[in-house]
Amino acid sequence: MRKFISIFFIFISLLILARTAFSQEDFNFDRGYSDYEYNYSLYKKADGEFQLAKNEYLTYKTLSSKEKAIEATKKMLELRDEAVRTYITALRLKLAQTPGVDSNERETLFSKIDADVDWHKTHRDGVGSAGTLADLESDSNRAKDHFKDTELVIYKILITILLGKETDIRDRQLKLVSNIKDKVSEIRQNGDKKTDVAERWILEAENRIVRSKDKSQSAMNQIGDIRRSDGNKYSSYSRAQFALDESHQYLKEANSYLAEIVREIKTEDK
Amino acid sequence: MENSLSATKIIAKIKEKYNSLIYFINHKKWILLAIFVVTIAVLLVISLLLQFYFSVNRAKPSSTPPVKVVEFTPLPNIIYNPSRYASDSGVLKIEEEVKNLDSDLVKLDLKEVRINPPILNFNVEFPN
Repeated sequence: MRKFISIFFIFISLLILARTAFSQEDFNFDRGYSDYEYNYSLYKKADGEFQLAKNEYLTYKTLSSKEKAIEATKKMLELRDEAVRTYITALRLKLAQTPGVDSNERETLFSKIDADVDWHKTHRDGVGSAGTLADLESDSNRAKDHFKDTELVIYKILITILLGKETDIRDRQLKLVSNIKDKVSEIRQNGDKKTDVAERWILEAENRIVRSKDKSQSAMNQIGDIRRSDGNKYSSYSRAQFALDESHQYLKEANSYLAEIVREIKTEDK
Repeated sequence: MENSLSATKIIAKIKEKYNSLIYFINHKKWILLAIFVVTIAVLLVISLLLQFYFSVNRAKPSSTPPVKVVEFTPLPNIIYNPSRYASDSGVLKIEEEVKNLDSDLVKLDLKEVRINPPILNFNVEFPN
């Protein structure tokens, strides 16, 4: 009986350990993104309350409306920091799971994200100590100024994620082209089928892949050209996405050529 | 001296309680205890299985909304005059990879609208 109890307790302990291990693996991008969505919704609500309190104070200028405005502003500023913090944390998780991203580039962006998360945490924690509307205005302006740097990091991460996906699929296509070249070479050596048409298609496909790489680089350059002082950084990001669409179109064309090569190989010479 | 005596007493009490637990289990009420213990174990196993099931499902790559693509039924790829390589296993494998890549090229989401930056209000001014 004592042996049974001991074995039972060991079994329960192992089960609890296994359960804990599974919980730790659960914090992926989906969880991080849900966290951000939740905090963003809290921020939007607080922003609405802040606007009301601000307007009330500016209209009536009473002491109680001032106190309400201070509390509403503090709450909004804290939640704004939290929304940004959880957003860039979600981006970090997305970047971590995106294939095709250069590891050095990934680590560099992780460092920038971590620094920005720390900044927003510190700023959020400092808002509570503000005593006047002037202090809160100053706190908000510091966050506004810092956000210009945050935006540069955000757009760099976004384009890196998209380029990573494009690079990953392009690498797969390059590998496939290599396999096709090997097969065509084998057929040429066998001497029982003409391969000149297939070889021309291979050149066309490779040409398209090179153009795709050029467009991807152009997309990255668009982001590199964004300046801290730019008022509308999103428009540069849109142009980068457009370049990426063009890159993707080249890959689709290259793939259609690969399908033609297969057809050519499977068809008897005339 | 006093401390070692009280420690001895504590150890003796723990032994007594353990023995009485064993005595208790060895008699009729052990059935109830066994049922309780088995129930806890079963609940833990179920929660572990559920957690595993949901983590596997959550791990599936569907974190972005699916891209709406108009899909046409492709024309059957009929080779009317097949060469000796039409049934070559290497060629068929390449053909399959080309088809899979084609499908993935269509499905790839290069907008990721979901992760666009949030819209924030930085207008916090209280004019005097």
